[in-house]
Amino acid sequence: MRKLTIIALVVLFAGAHAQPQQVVEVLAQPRPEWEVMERLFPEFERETGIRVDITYFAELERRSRSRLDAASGAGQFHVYYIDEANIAEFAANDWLVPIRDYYPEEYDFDGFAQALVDVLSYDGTPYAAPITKEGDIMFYRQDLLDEHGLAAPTTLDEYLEVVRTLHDPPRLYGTGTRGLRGSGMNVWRFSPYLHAFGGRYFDDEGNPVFNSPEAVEAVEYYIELVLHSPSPTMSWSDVMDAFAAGRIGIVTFADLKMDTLQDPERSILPGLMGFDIPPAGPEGSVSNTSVHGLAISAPGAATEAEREAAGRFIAWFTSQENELRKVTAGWGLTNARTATFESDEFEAAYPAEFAEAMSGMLEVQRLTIAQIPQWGEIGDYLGIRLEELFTAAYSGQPYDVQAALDDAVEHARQALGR
Amino acid sequence: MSRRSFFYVFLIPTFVVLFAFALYPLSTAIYYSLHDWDLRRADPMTFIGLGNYLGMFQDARFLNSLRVSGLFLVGTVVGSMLVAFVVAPFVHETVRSATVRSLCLFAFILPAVLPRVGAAYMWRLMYDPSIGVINYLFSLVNLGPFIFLQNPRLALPSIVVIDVWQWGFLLTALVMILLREVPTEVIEAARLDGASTLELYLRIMYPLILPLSVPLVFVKMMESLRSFDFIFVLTAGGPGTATETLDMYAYWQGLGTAGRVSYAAAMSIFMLILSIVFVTIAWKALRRWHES
Repeated sequence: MRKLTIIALVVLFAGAHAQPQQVVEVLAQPRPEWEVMERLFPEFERETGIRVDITYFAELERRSRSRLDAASGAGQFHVYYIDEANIAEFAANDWLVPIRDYYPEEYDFDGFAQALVDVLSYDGTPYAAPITKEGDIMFYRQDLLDEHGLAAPTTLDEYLEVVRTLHDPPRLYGTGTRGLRGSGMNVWRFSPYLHAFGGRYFDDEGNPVFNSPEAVEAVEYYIELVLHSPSPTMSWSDVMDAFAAGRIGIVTFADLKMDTLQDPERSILPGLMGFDIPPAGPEGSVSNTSVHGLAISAPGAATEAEREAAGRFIAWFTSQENELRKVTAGWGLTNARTATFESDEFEAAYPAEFAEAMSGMLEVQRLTIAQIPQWGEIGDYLGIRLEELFTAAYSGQPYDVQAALDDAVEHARQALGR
Repeated sequence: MSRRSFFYVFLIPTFVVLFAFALYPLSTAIYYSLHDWDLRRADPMTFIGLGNYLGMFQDARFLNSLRVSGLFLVGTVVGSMLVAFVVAPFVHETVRSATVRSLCLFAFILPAVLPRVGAAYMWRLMYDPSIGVINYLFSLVNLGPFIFLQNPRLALPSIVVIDVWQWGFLLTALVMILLREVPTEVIEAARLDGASTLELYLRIMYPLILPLSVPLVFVKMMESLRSFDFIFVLTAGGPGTATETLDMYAYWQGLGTAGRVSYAAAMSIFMLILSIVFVTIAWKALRRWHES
């Protein structure tokens, strides 16, 4: 017993005398390019003496976990992975520290594309450093279009025509589109169609109006796409995998997927694809805008020292040097600095036609969802109603688009307290 | 130390564990359920009494989840018992070799040994419209492809089938063991009186083993009320809310996406009360029936 006590005391004092190492706890979502970055962490740790600990959660869990961490005041994490859908909620509740206060000057915050910084700002103050952006590109199988003598579609009507012509299940499905419920799932993919048909989520006074005739038309169009998909409840990864495996003819989704699609180890498509901006609806071509970033948690990084360490980590992670390293490692699209997209490394990594589609995309990108704290709840409810419509249609059961949207709008009114 | 205080000392560990893992979480849940705590807002918790509980009954999605939970409970309990009471006598009557019987027992227990989540993933693949083995079998006779888990009307029955597959055969194994325990004199006497196999089961075997299988029904009931992991993997409550059970809805409201912790707590407390009431009524009814 006495021996044990002595050992315990020795351990205790040894611990007290050791140099306390600064640790930055990061809550992130698993992404392939983070694997590349994680291999570089020892370099950061050597330079700064700051240790980095990452906890990964899949997208939906990542959002709820960071919210729980901040709202409960637990503050387990110093750095949150954040996106355009929850920045408003987090900033409005003072769960984040303005990023520029702790982003070291020498890392050049102004080098980020301003449009991306704007998305991660609230009331004009940037709260996160962008790490990746995404918009929509139309990817199609050039070989199949040639086979059928079809031109690449430029309007939504032509797009549906191509989908119908190519559709030959179970060998090949005309398209694949997200049906799985969720504000970041089917609602996210549906949103550009809503805008392309002239609909909106909210009017200028902030009233929910996504049960308008334009919205109904957009949902009916989307249902047509779902009916030509392998399943009515696909997630984005299901769609990507099906396209990469050659089971889908044409698809509109995030430009980021190009990194996977042109990798011969994970896709049969290199050399077979064509690219363009999303096909135009009555209101023109519309692309989503998504920006993900890293932010400093106010409850997590409570002391000045912790905030400085968190800021240094974020600055290092998003530095110009590391962005270029991602380009050469095959993940060039998950970046946020203008100089990166204009670099020689970037030009060498992607086909010219894709780069052209991407610059066209930048012109039609807009924030298609609403940046309000209640968006998650409103979007999730709409997602459920949409999934019901998609699955009923796919199963050949009756459905009522207008009634479903009316119900979702009524729910949105309640959530907004109107 | 007196004998009495000696007893109390030995009870302490039990109560510490009970307090830490049952009483404390339960009382916190009750406390939260009487307040208005929303993770999306930074404002402090306010006491709202029974507000969350009253709100539940105006929430169509809550009422739907109640209905889904009820259907799932009834479907899986009745389905599992039916399988057990049909398959067990069949094996009992037809298989004479002890080795084959043991093999049957082993095979019946196997599905239940699989982890729930593992079984769910396996079936999700089997149900898949394009690569699933079930649709492959249908395609051999020129039927399908059918979608199971993505069809609002078929999703819940499809999940019930998986649960019955896991539990029905385990219960079959247990009923087989019960059947073996029926005294042979009784069976021989009935046979001498000219009873057919059907009559033998309806009048002698089932009445003899039913009271012994009552605990099985309760175990299955409790198990059916806790199918969160299983349904989460298969459909996560979808399509729409077609398979959204009470615990699944509480999860989505509390932690999943909405962040309405106190509302979710109220739902959990309601579920607890409901299960206690339900199980007590069923228990008493069965006991009365048993005694008569």
